[in-house]
Parts: sequence; structure tokens; C-alpha cells
Amino acid sequence: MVKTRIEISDRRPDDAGAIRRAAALLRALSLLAVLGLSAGCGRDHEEPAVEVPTSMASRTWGEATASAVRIDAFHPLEGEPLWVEEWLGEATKRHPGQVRARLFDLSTPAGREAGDRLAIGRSALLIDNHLGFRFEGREVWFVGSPGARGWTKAQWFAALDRQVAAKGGTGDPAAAIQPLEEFAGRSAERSDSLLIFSGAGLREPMEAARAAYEQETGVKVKTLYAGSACLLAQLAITHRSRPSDLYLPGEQYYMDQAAERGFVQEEEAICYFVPVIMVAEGNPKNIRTLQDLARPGVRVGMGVERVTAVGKTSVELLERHGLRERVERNLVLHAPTAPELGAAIEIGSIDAAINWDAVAAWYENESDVVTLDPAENIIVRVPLGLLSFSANPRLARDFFDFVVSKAGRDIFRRQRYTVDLDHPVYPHLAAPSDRSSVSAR
Amino acid sequence: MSESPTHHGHRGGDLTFRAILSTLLFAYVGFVLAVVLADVYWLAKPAAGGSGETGFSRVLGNEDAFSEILATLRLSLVTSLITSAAAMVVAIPSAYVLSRYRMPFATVIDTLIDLPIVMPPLIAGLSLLIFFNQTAPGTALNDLLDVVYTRRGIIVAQFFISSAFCIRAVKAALDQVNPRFEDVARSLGCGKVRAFVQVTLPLAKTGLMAGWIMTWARTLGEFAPVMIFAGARPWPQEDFTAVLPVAAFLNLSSGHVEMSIAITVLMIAIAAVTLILFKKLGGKGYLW
Repeated sequence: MVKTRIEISDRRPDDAGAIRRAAALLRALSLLAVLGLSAGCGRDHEEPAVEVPTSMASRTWGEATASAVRIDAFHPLEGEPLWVEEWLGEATKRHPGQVRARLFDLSTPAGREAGDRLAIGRSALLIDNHLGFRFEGREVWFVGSPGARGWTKAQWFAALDRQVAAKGGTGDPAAAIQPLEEFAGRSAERSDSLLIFSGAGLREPMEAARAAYEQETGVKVKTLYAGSACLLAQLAITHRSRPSDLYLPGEQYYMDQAAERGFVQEEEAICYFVPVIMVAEGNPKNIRTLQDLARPGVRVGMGVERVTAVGKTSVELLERHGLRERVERNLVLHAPTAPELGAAIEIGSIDAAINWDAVAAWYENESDVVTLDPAENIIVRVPLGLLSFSANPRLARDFFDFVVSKAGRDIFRRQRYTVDLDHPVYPHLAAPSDRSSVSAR
Repeated sequence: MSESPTHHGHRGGDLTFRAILSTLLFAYVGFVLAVVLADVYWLAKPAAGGSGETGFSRVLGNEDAFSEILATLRLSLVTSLITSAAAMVVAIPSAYVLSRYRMPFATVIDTLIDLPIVMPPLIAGLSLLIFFNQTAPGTALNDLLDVVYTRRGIIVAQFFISSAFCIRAVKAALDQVNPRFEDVARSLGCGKVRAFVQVTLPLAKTGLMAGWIMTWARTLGEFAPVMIFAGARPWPQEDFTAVLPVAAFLNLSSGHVEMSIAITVLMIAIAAVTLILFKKLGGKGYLW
């Protein structure tokens, strides 16, 4: 059924919604008035800090006084909580009487309730409700485990020292370390829907996974598609005002970028891209190996190296085989996207192209596929990331778990993506599979 | 008076001159037509496999594909109509001010109106996101209107770009109306408002219609700002936000070349009808 009217999503017809809207209107008006006086647009819109009762905590350190810096630690559902307890003890010893630390266990109902109120679902270390600090211009978010998520113990203690000094009145207001906008307090705006950012090339399996999950749980899953780089920009701009839950870029590079900014709590490979050679139907040029691409008279297409993941990987692959220069002499098409290589084979403007197995599968009716020896190939993993800024962390984790579960992976498998390297879309018959060459770029 | 033989001598030269220029014109027009028809030809051609299946049959014979095009078309038409109407509401007074009054900083204001047109579309979308998510007045507005990654966002993104075109087109129409008519009406006892509504607007009617149609066509084709600001959520998601150009992009990215070309052909057909209408109504603006 197609809806004719443009009714906008998310509007709950209850009184709470109306009151929230009225409050928002008042705030908008007052803000516009303020703006008229002070030309600066800043981070000064105050939201009441959400208080979490200490009764929800599983352990506490130090005394609660008005001047004490408050540390709230959330420790993960699984993994090693020990380092967190160690740090909290260390923090109270470092600033005796000036720090009050609480530990919330997310595997208990009380801990989860506390996490929900602050919109936190995975390990996180808050200092006076600040989850992020600016270190000489660089933003650092204390989420996930240190090291793996682009922050260190030294940075966290530096942020704590800064906060203690500021509260004691001895801090330098122009210090190099500054707390970022408050993270907590958004729980009032929490919704029962999820927001997913997915690479446009992964649309088919993601749409299938979305539909399956919606049908099973009744949860609304909004999934945005675009190029991976474009999605990263969208995430960077809107992750705080429009909490998002999952990120599925077509390439590890973008996941690393997101992780470096502290956006990612956890990631897992959901499928793999295996390079194959696409040729015209019936393989008229008799192409069997990468070496055949260097033969005179073969018109070759490749992705643009700087723009596409498939281009970058093709160049690496040819370099590994010492074929780059010779194959580039045969190059007649530089395609900005992987599907365009498939389309070029389909319309007959090239004889062969190095492309992903999943993309080659889309053109199976009009082309043939030549597989490469897995031992000599460069296989790329496609990661799914659980984001740290979810407004509904439990729901986000549930959908994440669904997609990486067998049921979720089966959806990708049915859409002809290589989920298991022992059973790729196009098995290489000549030699048994060998995972030693999987690159974790 | 000067029907001299020498003039007839010029006639021959004139014809040659005209023939050369016309040849170039027809060559270019033929080129454009060939490219457009190539899309249709490619869709109508049976696939290589020998199954007799064509691009058209793949799109029209597939219930999901057909429903996607229909739903997307409907969303595109509704949003672009709302946007172009809103743009007209803003453009008529704005263009009147620009056309009739001398203002301080007139050049600055004129340049500001051009900015959405010269901004790279991708950056325009990102700039809208930054305003509505990172600034105090923007977030307050978003709390009120809920525009980021929603259907309302489609209209905001389209409006941001299209209004600039609309103001340009409406100003061109109002510039054509001699202000003396208004002065005469006023000297006969007509108020300023009545003179504007009953004299100037009717005189500019065809120009305004043409401006509106042009704005609408432009709005229908808006791609990057809509994709970034409203998010590309395709049919059949609830409250999907993918309008025609966004759907064409998404289909190309997931290997459905036929679908994306079919959507493009549909857009070309709509644009052609619209522009012919625009010209019939005497539009003299340009589709920058």
C-alpha cells in the first residue's frame, strides 16, 4: 500500500508529545531572541542533567559531597570489567575526598535502567556527565575499551585531573583540555525506532534484514543509504542530535575512521568481498588467470584507485603479482563504482574486469566469472559497527546481534554475498581455500 | 527603399551563413535527442541471454519495481508541489522588493540569493545538516519541525535551493511590468495593496506561472541536498524519503541499471512536458 498523504514520522499523538512540542516552541523563540542580542551561536542550550540514583550502582568509591567530581562508570555486558574497578579505585586515591565514583553493572536490571536514563548501553566512563573531552582541538570520547577505541588511560586521567582542578577553583579556564557538550540527559527524547547508516551497495541484504527484523519484533528500523564517505559525514554532524545505532560501510577504512572519532563501540565482519574476474558470457577471450589480463588485445576495466575500494584492491592485487604495468596498458575503463564495471561487461564495452564476487553475481545472466586462487587473492572484510551514541542501546544491540547471527548472515548469503570464506559465492575449484591472505585493511 | 541588386547579392551570403549556423544547431539538437533516445532504446532491447526479456519488461513486469517507481513518483510530485508553492509564497514578495525598491546593500542581498545556486549540491546538503544539528537556533528549529532525516527534510532541502531560482524567475516576470500602471491605479484612488494584487499580479500572470513551473521542474530533479539532509531511505520503508533522483542513484548502486535508467526516462518525460508548457506560457527564464 502506498500512502498518499505526507504524514511525518515519529509523531506520537499523546499529550506528552504536545507538551514537548510546546516546550520546544518556547525554547526556539527564546533562543531566537537571545540570538538577536548575541550573534554567537554556541553550545549553551542547557538540558537538565539526568540524575541517576546511587541505589542503581553496584559499587561506589569515595563520599558524595557537593564539591566532589562525579564519575559514573558503566561496565560491559561481557568482557573484562576489572580494569574499570581498578581505575575507579586509583582515581579516588589520586584525589582523596574530591572524587565520588559509581559503577553500574549493565548486566543487572538496575544498571541497565541507569544506562537507559543516560542513553548508554556499553562501557563508558563519564566525568560529571561529560563523556567527551577536547584535547588540544581533538575530540576524545571515553566509550568502549581504551586503546581499541582511540583513547588512552592517560587521557582519561588527564580529563579527570582537569575537572578536579576546575571544581576546586585552581583550574586554568583556558586549559588545553575542555569538556565537550553534555552527553547525558537525552533519554527523554528516546524513541522506539532504530536509525541505521548503510553503504548503498549493501542495500539489498540490509533491506531484507530490516524487513525481517521489523516483522519479527515490530520495531521500526529506519535505514539510510549513501556512499560510505557521505554516511560518515552525516554521522559526524548528526550523531548527537539525532542518535544513530548502526553503521555498515562498504569498506574497513571508513569503519576505522568512525572508530578513531569514538563513534564505534563494537564491530564485526558481516561478509567479505572476494575479488573475481568478470568476463563476457561464454568467455570468448579465454581468460583464466590474472596473467591473461595482460595479454595484448584484451580490453580491461578497473575501479578508480582513489575512489573505490574495488579499485584500490585491484591495484594491490596486480602489484602483488607484478602485473600492474602490463595490465594497465590494456586498461580502457576507469569506473568510479563497482556496479559500473558490471554494466560495462553487460553492454560489451570491455572484455574483463576485476570486481567483487557479490557485484559480479548481479550480472550473472549477462557475464561469466573467473575465480582466483584464494591463497593469491586479497579478500576484504565488510564490517558492521555498533555505534556509541544510540538513544536506545538495548534495542541497537539486539538488532546488531540479529544481523551478525546465523539468521542475519543467512540473509546476506541468500543475496549472494560471501559470508563464510570456506563457502564463497564462487568457489575456487582448483585449490582448497586458504585464509592466510585475508587482509584486515 | 533600398531594394538594390547589391542587397540581393547579400541574400545569397545570408543563406549560406544561416545554413552553416543551422547545421550546427541541428547537429547539437540531434546529439541531445540521440542520447535521450538511447536510454529508451537500451530499455527496449532484448537482453543478451536470448530470453527475450527487455529492460522495460523487467521493470514493468516486476511488481516490486513497478510499485517502487509509482510510490517514489508520488512522493516526488507531492513534495515538489509543496516546495514550489512555498517558494512562490516567499518569492513573490521578495522579488517585488528587489524589483521595485532601492535598498541598502542591494548587491549583498542579491549575492546571498545566488549562494544556494553556486554552492556544490553535496555541500549544500551538509551545510543544512550542520545548521540544523550543530547550532543553537538550528537545533531549536529542528526540535520544533523535526526535519533531519524525515520527509519534511525533503521539503526543506528542496526549498533552500529552489527558492533562489524562484526569486530570480519571479523578479524577471515583475521587471516586465511597467510600474507606471501601478502609479496610474494609485492616482485613481487605489491602495498600494490593491494596486499590487489587482494590477501588477494579473499583468505578470503568465510570467509567474512560467516561473512556478520552472521552479517545480528544478525541485523535482533536486538530488544531493535531499539525499544528505532527508537521508536516502527507499521504498518500502515506512515514511521512505527517496525521491526520484535519489531512487535512481540507489538502484544504480545496487546493480539495478534498468531501474535507474527507467526512472531517469520518466524524469526526462516529465521535464520535457513541463518545459514545453513553460515555453507555451511565455517563460523567458533560463534553467541555470
